Amino acid sequence: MPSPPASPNHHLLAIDDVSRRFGTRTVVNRVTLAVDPGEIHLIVGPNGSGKSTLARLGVGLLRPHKGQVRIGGFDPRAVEAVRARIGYLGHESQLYDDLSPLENLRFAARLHGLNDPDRAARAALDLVGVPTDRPIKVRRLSRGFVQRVALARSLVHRPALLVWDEPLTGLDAGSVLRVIDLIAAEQGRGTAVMLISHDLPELWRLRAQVHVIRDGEVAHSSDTSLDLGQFRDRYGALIS
Amino acid sequence: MSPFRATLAIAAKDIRVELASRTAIATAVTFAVLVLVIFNFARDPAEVSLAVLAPSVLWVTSAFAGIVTLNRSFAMERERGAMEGLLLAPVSRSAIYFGKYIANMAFVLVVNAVLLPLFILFFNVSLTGALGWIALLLLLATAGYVAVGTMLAAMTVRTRFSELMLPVLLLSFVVPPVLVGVQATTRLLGGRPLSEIIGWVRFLAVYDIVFLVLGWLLFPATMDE
Amino acid sequence: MVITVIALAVLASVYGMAIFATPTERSQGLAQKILYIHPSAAWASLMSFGIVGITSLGYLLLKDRRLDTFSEASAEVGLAFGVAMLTTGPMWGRPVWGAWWQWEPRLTLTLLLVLLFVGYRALRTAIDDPEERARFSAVVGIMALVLVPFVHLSVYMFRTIHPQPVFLKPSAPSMPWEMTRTLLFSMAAYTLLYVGFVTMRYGIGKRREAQSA
Repeated sequence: MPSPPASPNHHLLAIDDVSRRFGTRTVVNRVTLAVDPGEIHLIVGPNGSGKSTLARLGVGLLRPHKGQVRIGGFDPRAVEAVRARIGYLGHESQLYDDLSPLENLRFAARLHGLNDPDRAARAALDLVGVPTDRPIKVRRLSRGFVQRVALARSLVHRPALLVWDEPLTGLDAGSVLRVIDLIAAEQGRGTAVMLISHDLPELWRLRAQVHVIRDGEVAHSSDTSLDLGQFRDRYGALIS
Repeated sequence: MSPFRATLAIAAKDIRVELASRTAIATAVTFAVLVLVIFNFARDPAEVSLAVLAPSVLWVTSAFAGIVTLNRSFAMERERGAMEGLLLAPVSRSAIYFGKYIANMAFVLVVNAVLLPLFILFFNVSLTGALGWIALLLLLATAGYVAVGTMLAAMTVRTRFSELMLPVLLLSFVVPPVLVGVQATTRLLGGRPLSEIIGWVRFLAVYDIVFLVLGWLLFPATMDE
Repeated sequence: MVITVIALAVLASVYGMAIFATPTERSQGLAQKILYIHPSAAWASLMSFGIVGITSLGYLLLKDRRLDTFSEASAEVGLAFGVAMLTTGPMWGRPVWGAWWQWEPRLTLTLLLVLLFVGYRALRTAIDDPEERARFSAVVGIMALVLVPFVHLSVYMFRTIHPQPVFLKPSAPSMPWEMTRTLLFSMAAYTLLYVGFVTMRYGIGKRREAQSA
């Protein structure tokens, strides 16, 4: 599969002065953010502050009204091949209810032009601890299970950039730990990660930069070396 | 990834979903049989013979059954946000369009293949020699309005009252192919020479090409959020 | 507003001319006077819808909100003219054809376009995001324009009993000059009326946008 050349001069994900309106309401306002390999950027903020819109802009699902988004120097909306580097999970699982987890992931692997879709699909499901021996339709799975399959789907092509919007939704305590370990492992192998989440205590274990978004703007930036209690003291009023 | 392989992967996925759920085809076939039955009783048998009504029945039933399948096509991409997965894959928007198109064609043709023998049985028509031509006409007409319907369904699925919106928009586009199909079928069943229907066949072919090209050009705009 | 007033004044003089200064056709009688409303309304309606197709394409290429607002205005004005065409047709058809409605190519084309643009309006009201609304309706607007020749040709192949084009014929017009003159004048009046209506409707669209801001 043709892939754009790796470009050391570019950030892996560069969100540059990006704005987006819905109707007349500006949801994301002049946000600039750069994510590089091995970095985790945690986006926090109250409901409706524009976090999810920012994630969708970052992967190229939404067209910015101002500014530009580049992945490795390329516009993901224009250059097909660069989309192979994105692993995105939004609020929805992107799965087909009538197919099994394995079938769903095989299809995703095929879309990405992988040589051995079956092996890639099994490997990804293994990462999130979903068994592949019994073909059960996604429709029959519990919410937490669906979420794990959805996480696996975004990993099946081993992307260089993960953009996960509320990845811990619906997961039980054990699965949460597993996913946090997974994120840390991805960081270790040089994946760039952008996370949107409310689950601060769990995520504070990661070495990450934290951005507080309010009214579509980056209000503050900090990192997880700051004690969570202090962080809450400082920004709690902004993110509650 | 080559657009050709991506197109086939998407079409194959739709067919796999259909085989697993059996919703679209089963519903459309049931629907088609019901329409056939209603048509049979919605006439005065003394006044209107089956032979006169038959071509219209075949075409109207086929078109309506097509709409039932088209509605399903993008609903499955919408239910759990699967369309996002397609849009974020390294494949072109056109590959998505043609993948969905091929799958929709397959479904509607299967429905037609079930419909045609039932039609012959219920309406007691003899198609001696004309069967091949009627099948060709159905194929060409279907190819055209499915091209339009695939494009429209991609949009209507994102609107309120989506299941109603698709037929309201699509039926105007169905009129030319159905009208032509009925005329040509009437002539075929009446034993008219083939030279009389060549013009109609050509009309359908041009319609298909024009709307497939238009779909290819306009479909990206329907996905450009 | 000004243009509409002028257009209405011109239209009034067209009808004055039609009644007082144009001969009455022998076989059709007074019903023939519809010639100064019906074809002009048909023309204005087709022109409106045609312009929707063009401005829709413009919107997809330039993403300029104003082109979408204009398409919406033109579509609605086209519907008004279309309804005028469809109601005057039967008024003439009844005495002359002996039937209110005939499945005649141009009548059928207008009917289908009116129905399609009713769908176009329904689609617009069923989408909340203005940008998505603009994109989707632009696609439908372009598709409608492409559909026109196919509907026309197919219905034409079906059958035709409409009076043949009496005036845009390659040979000399078969109508007395006074009638031709009045007809041309009427078409000009309707074109002007289109400009007036669409300008006003566009203004309404702009104001609605401003209010929702």
